[in-house]
Amino acid sequence: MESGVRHLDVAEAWPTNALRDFDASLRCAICSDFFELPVSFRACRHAFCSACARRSLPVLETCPMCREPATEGDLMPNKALEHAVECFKRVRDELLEATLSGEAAPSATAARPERKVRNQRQQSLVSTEVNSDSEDSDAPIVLSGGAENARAEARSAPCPVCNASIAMNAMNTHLNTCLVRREALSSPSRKRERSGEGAGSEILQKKMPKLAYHLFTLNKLREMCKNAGLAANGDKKQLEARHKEFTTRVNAIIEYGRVPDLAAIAREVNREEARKVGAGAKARMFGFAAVSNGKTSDNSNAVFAKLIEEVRNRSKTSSTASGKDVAEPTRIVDDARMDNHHDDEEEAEEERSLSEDEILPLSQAAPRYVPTDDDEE
Amino acid sequence: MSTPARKRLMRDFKRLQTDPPAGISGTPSESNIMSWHAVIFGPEGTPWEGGTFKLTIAFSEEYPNKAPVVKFVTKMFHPNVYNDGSICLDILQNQWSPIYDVGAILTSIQSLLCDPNPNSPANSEAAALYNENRRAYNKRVAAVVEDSWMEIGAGTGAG
Repeated sequence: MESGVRHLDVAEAWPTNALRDFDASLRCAICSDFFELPVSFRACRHAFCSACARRSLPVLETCPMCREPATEGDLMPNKALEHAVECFKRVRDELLEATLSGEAAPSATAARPERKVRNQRQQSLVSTEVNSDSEDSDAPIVLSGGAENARAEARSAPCPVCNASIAMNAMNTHLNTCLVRREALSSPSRKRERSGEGAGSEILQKKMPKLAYHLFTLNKLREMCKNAGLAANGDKKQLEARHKEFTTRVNAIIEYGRVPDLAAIAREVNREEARKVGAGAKARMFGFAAVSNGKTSDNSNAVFAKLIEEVRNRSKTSSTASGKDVAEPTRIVDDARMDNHHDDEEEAEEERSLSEDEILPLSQAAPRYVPTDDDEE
Repeated sequence: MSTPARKRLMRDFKRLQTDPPAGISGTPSESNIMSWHAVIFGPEGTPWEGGTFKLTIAFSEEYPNKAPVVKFVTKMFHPNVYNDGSICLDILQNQWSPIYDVGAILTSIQSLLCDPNPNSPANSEAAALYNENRRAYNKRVAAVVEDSWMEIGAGTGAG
């Protein structure tokens, strides 16, 4: 975003419990990302991403939250929630920055400001931000140039073709791809159409069927993957998992009343699988699978000692096991990298470096169903 | 190199650090976020009080759609813990739900300590003692609690 500051895409990026809860309330409890195409279960109304819910249902056959029995037919698009998430995502970086800079700014009046005062400051900062974005639009608004741009970017409208919410200044580009795709769908001479193969790719508005994969031969599975634009290598199990994931993602969009971009979905499935394989290979190279066999190395002992120390420090009031001679704390503090629980500043820095590799900031995460010509990454 | 499982685990870690449940702490390995070390303190007011029990958690790329493999490293004496440290707990098997995170898993194991399920015994001796001779059972638990302290400084396992 124009601010240039990358905020972590986690609810814990916020400084107070109330703000963290707010951020978390717009996230799916399964993937912990912001809801993508949120659906609610008919009976209990618990909400998840469309794909997350569909991935868990075949095994659970219940709502993951309350275990109310359910099937895919019980999932209803929750468009109000989708809209709320989209609006929040657009202002999140800006709000975070305002909140955090308000939090970090040293108070001019007191060396050690009261907690209450600090909270008030935060609140006022947040509310001005919110107001400037949500005040009735016919009132004349005087804003600086930078803010004006941000507002234009933030304004959005539903696409008349696919109904997805699109930022106004990106609408033309979106319409171009959206209309072309529609045309391709309705044109009779489609290259994808092939000998009754993959019913899902023929009529895109129709859900892809759940297949009994064990009935297919390896070659047939390969062909199905290939036709869907998926990688065709690997054994039966891999091919099946790949095609299943593709089906889940496509259906998650179709059942939402949207048009899936099959090629983009296939690309994303391929890419994600490659990432998993790559990450697994990296982990094996470091030999860290050994941790799971329950054998403790010296390194493990140091980590455990540190974890124990952390809990003890947390609750200094509770009685510790004093009768026994526990470990001397000095022995424990040897690994500077893992020792991040004593110094707050160090801890914050450590967290940042650790997690930036793992979590893309929100501004870089593109929603999957929006068609893009360029292949990100 | 981020995958859904890794992203989710990073967020689990953040949550655990920001708002840790009482007597629970855990951290991913320095170079592999898929394998974790964790510590559970025995719940206060129970025979397990004061014990510091170490565990390892191994996640797969299927997480959170598949439960991780959780094992005690500390030698345990519990009706639902096997000799090798494996845990017999419904939410880690057929009652798993993808909404559980590391904090929830560890909290469940912590409450399993003083609330065992003697109907699915993994350690028949512990199950029998728990049912028939609670005093002797509590004595054995007290020994496990003491051993859990010894392990810290010793560097090698107490078993």
